[in-house]
Amino acid sequence: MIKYSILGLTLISIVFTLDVNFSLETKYGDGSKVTGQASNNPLISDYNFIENLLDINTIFDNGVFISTQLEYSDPPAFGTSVKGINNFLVDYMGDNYSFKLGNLYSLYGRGLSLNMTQNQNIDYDNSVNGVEFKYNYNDFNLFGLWGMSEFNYRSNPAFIETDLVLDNKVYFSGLEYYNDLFGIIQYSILYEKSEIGIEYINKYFIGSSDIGKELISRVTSNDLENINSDKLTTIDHNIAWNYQFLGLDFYIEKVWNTYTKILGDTESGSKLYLSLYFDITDIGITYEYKNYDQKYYIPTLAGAPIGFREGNSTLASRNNHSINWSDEVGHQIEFNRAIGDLIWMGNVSFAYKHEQEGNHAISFSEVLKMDNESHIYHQYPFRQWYSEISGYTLNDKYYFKLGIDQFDEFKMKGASNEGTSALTFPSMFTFDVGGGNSITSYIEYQNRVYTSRDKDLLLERSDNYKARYISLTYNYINFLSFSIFYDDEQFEKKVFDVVWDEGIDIWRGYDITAKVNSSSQFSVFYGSQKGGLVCANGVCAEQPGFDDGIKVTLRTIF
Amino acid sequence: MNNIVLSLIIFSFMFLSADEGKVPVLKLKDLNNKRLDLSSLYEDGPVAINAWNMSCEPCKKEMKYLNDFHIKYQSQGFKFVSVNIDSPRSMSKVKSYIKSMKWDFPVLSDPRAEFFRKTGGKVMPYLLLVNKDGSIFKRHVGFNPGEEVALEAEIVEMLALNFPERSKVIESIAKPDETKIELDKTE
Repeated sequence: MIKYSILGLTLISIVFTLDVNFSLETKYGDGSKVTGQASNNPLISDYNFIENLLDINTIFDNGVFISTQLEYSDPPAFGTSVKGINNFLVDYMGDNYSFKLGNLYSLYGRGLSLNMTQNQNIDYDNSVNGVEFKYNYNDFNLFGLWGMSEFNYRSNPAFIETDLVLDNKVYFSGLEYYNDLFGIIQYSILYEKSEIGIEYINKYFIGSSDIGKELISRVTSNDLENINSDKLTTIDHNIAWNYQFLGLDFYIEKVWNTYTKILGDTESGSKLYLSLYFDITDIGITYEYKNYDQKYYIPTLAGAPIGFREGNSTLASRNNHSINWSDEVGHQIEFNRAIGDLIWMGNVSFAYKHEQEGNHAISFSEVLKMDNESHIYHQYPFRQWYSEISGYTLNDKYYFKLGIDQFDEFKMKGASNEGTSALTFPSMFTFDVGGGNSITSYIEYQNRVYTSRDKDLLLERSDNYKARYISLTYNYINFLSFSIFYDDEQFEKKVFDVVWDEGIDIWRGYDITAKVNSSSQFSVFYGSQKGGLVCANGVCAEQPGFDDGIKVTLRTIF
Repeated sequence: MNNIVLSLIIFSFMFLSADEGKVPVLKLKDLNNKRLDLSSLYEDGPVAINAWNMSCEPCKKEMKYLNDFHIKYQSQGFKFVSVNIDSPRSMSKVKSYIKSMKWDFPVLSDPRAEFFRKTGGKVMPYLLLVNKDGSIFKRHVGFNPGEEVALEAEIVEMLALNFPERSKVIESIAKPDETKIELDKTE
């Protein structure tokens, strides 16, 4: 009934107003997918999808905005089938107040307590259905939010479909004060009540996540027999301060919170994030520090800064560090400097878990060195450094980007110390050949080594991967683009010095994209794609892995 | 079958809809935390507004040209305004990048991507050309070098539409050589 009312309201709004825009994204794929890998015998299954997302945005002259997202995906490229209304929002913005009703995507501060977003590419949505208001009086902003949701998430990010569910209720309110002298000061309080069913508690119990391991350490399977669900409560007190002075920009946000663990007691935790920007002799410097400490907490509504650089090249993005939102300390420093018409960027970031009682505590120099012989695996250290130079040259006819990326990450899995080390050289060249035509190429190379040392079995394994990625696009008079993709990965897997598996995987693809008009693109892809971030035809988008098939994509706004 | 019917309905909507729509009511902060009403940007003349983030390389290529157009046509009432939609994951790095690029146009911060979502954005680069009454003159999705020629022509067309009395001056700024030759012939 609610769905039909929303649909009716949307159609009425379309009929009675001209200020409506439609945004459509349609994806169709017919191919196969590698779902697992046995030696020289990959497991391949059919991979077909049809995904239609239609956003209808209606703008009224009196400031009311209505947004409806309809989805017909059966199945989508990633996630569960959806046929119907995905989300709906009524938004009103007055002179000194605003009001929202429906699916709320809200952000306060840097998101340490509340950051609700939707990402279709990874099938993630932590919005709540509810109401939100803001009221502005002189230098004060008062805000509040109430909502509920069924938060669907994955115990393993690689799973196609979500497998865990939390029923959430959230109450949030706060006050922001702006002053020319002191900057912006914000205080907010969040109260979240969640319920998790026994079927999902069981999944934690039999899984290998940190939350699951901690649960097993204090609960037996007999304890679970008479339980239907468990209620979890979180209370956040959040203070944020932003101060700008003589070109310096300082931001700090601190959360003190209490939360309950699954079938456990109430714990105290905290989160801290700070960033500092300043420039010295035309070098822009940004420093970030994070300290997220609320062990065994299930993050639902928060989305704090990650504090490291996400790779924006196809090969580098395949090694992204997976942040632990509940237990991680990290630093990041980034430099930007203009050199003539070019710009140089340098970035160093590292992170690790909090120290554990009875274990060696990681030192600053150890995480910077990332020596694979050191005893630091239990703190899951991660380090990345990156440098690039980019810009236009030769009378703006030629644009290039050259980079170098070193990624290192250590983990402890059971009795094994595991490490990944990757050196990537991304590059991009664009040449404007005149008359509206241009050629763009992405050329990347990566050397990646994965090592695993089992302390109990005294087994040492190392896998060496050499990957190459090339894409070449010819853009013809702003109307047609032709692209070819070549992606290969040569591998050699060894136990001690004995090679037990070697070979090469190759993905080849061809794409033709037509610009129907300035805001509509229609593209057909044929071939195979390893997946991840793909940049071609003037846009960058996350693409799922795909083998030997055809994909059709239409994106249009009308 | 259902998919085909749905596709036909959507395609028919595409070609029936001639109106590009309007910019929604929205207040955003600039990089110095000053809150701005989006409508204040276009009250004096037409604007180009884009949505971009730090990982979008084609956006950076396009913004270099948009900065050139911002400088070139500023005297005729045109400006380019950039809306950065980096989320808290990466928004702290934006200021450093902008300052290093020494761009002249104003940059607004929209970490919730409200401008992008409310105007129907799906992928970047995403650019709107907006008339001084707030109606959308043209939308652009994607950017390849070479397309800046057509983009400049559209900006000139939009300026002439909004300020018909200045059309000759605008034309002379857009094509100074051609205008000079024509003037020489007249003389």
